[in-house]
Amino acid sequence: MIRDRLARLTGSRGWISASHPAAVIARTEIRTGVRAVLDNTRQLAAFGLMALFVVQMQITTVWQALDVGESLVASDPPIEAVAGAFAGLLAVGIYSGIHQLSTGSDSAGVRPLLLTSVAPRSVVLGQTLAEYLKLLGLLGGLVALPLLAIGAGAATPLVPLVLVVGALPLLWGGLLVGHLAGLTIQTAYRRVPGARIVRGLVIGGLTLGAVIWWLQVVEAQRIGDAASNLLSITSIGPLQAYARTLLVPVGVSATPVDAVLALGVLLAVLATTAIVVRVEIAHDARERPERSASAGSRSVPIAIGSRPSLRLGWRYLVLGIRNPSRFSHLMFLLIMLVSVGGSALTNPSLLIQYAPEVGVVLATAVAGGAYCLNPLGDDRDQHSLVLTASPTLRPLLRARGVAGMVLASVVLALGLGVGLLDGRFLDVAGFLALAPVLFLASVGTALGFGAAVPSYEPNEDGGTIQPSSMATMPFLLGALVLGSVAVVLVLATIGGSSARLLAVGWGILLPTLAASGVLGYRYAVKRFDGLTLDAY
Amino acid sequence: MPPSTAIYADSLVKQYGSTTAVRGVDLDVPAGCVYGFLGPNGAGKTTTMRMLTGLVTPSTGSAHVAGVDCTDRERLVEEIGLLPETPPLYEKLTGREQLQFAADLRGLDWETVADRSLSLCADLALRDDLDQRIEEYSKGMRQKAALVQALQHDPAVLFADEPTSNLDPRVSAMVRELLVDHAEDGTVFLSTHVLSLVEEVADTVGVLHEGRIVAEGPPEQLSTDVGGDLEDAFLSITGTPDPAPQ
Ligand SMILES: Nc1ncnc2c1ncn2[C@@H]1O[C@H](COP(=O)(O)OP(=O)(O)O)[C@@H](O)[C@H]1O
Ligand SMILES: [Mg+2]
Repeated sequence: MIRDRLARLTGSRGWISASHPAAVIARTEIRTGVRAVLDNTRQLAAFGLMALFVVQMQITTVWQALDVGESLVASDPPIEAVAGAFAGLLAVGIYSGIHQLSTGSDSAGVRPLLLTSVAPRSVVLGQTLAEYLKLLGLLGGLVALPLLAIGAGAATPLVPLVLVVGALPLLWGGLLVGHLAGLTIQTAYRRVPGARIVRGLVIGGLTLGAVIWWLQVVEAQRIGDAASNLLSITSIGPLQAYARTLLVPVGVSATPVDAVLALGVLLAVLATTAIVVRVEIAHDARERPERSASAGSRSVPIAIGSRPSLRLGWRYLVLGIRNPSRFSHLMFLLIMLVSVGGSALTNPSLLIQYAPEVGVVLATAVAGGAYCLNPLGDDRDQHSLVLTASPTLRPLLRARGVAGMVLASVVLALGLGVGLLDGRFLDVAGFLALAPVLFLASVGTALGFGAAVPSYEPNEDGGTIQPSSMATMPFLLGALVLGSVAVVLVLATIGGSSARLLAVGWGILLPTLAASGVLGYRYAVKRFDGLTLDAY
Repeated sequence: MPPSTAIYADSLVKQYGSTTAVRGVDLDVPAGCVYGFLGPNGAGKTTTMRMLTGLVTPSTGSAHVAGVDCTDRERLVEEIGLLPETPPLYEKLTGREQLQFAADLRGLDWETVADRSLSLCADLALRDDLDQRIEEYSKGMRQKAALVQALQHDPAVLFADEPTSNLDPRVSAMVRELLVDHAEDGTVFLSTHVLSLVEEVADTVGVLHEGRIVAEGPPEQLSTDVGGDLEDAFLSITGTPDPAPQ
């Protein structure tokens, strides 16, 4: 009798008995995740391309890694650097924990089955485990070659081995802290009163502040300046002790205090696991209310007139503000910004000084990036309506451009506003004059990318369909590069550089912008006007 | 509560912000019957079922299923099977893999459940499609797979939310038969707005309207009370229908 057997098997409760179903869930999530990638040729191609980049990047770091390996077994091993790498790893874990929580798991649709089949603890553990293993696979691919080189440099496989072993619990701990942070952000977002967009900005700002602060900690660690930092006692010290204890098998000396601190790090990871799992369980039984404050329809303001592209553009703006996760592919901009302007973070006055420039470049990326990188994909549910409502999709594509340019104008206004306060009137005027050109080019180009590699795959929970990274990455990179070139040219023109150089610069930039904008737009119109539901 | 009580609820209330989805539901469903939970769209059927299966916590009130408090999810899962409105399936698994996964989750060997599971599939004419990916399944096939998944471990109480909503009449009849079969040694809690379904399979009907049970009893009794068939009873209990468009 199945029922008796069930009672016997599930008789024992607790963490140990939670591990079997957790493993089953993790295995299945990974299996379905891998199948999803393999089934999707576009994703597969993107993956291959990324792998090429990664290999190339790794090869350039091999020599450095050889040195690191050698120094780790030398008389004065760079413990700070190892601890810094561990802090970075924690940050990666935290970031992906937050990210995972905000995008939701691929298997959101299966949750009713999971939650009514196994103990809640197993569900949380299983889904986190799957996420952890995926992240581990990805990171493993990223650092495989350098790790081998470290081993070669140290002339013993023991060094990379202990590093990997030491990294495993930290990554897990970071992931769970990320979940906690994500839950906190979500709860704050729901609890804080005010309009969605205001709450979003406030919480986004706080999050960004926390990220910057953490990067400073990592940076301070890297340059061995930990003593001056507030966190030196609470986090960096233990991480160094942890690194020293870990490296004892390869000849590094550690004090008993180090060993105790290292044990403390591991215990902290365990405690974090226990706490976060509890919090997550409590959180997901409390279904979130759809705020009634957000209820109410908005009609298009009369001032917008009757042009379809403007009226539709207004709708897209409203949709975006109601559901900011539509823009989550733009997170990449933030990451690039942080990695490019790393030094500006330690010196915020630089941010004020370059606000107009940054504003122009970001606005250029936002104009096309916000709505045009997957112009039909993210409205998949609407296709049968859209395709039967109008002979051409031109108004729809333009509407997306309009909405994106409105958002871009807000970004631009922020940047240029700071410039005005700074008294840079001429620069601001120059940027303002060029902005329409940049925006239009950005929109057209983005539409072209979106038409070339559209993405129609929804999450299993029917969430927002994100643009393909094959469209997002090249577009955003291109926008940043061309935007920066334009900024430099404007400044050079105002500063009175050599006329010949300026002529060459503008002579290349403007035709490039025009061509990519016009061709992109034309291609998108052609492609989407021929769209049928067979496309996916 | 006596051991023969399968579902017991004491003034269950669920509030979402300022909306009250369920406003005080009492239930006392004996084991071994099909309980038809009937109500128009938005009455609160799904929300009640979510509270009974531990998916959401009641704002106030309490409930027990097979003697287990519904907030004790660790023990509750051993007693229940759930067929929610949207079939909870992995797109990228085949039907067979999905059923094996569901068995694995509960720590059951596939060998132990295979007989029962495959015969359920045969009853629903799903057996030949088991090696296809779920992503290729029609809505009806998904519904069938999810039903087998909810029944294969022989739960004490099966919760089914609109189980026939995507099915053609023939498959719908197969499902009805399975539900009645399960009530021989288990209990079925069936939520639906389809009158003919409860009329045919339910031993007791509770009519839910705006978050409250407004009538309860065997289907025949409800209709005689109003002096018509169950449809008249339903319409008179839940208010007059919208005027038909001319
Ligand atoms: N997560 C939620 N947030 C806010 N309101 C909800 C939520 N879930 C259900 N409701 C509201 O509760 C009421 C009952 O919904 P539901 O239980 O789904 O009804 P039924 O299943 O009978 O059609 C509806 O008015 C619905 O809008
Ligand atoms: Mg419902």
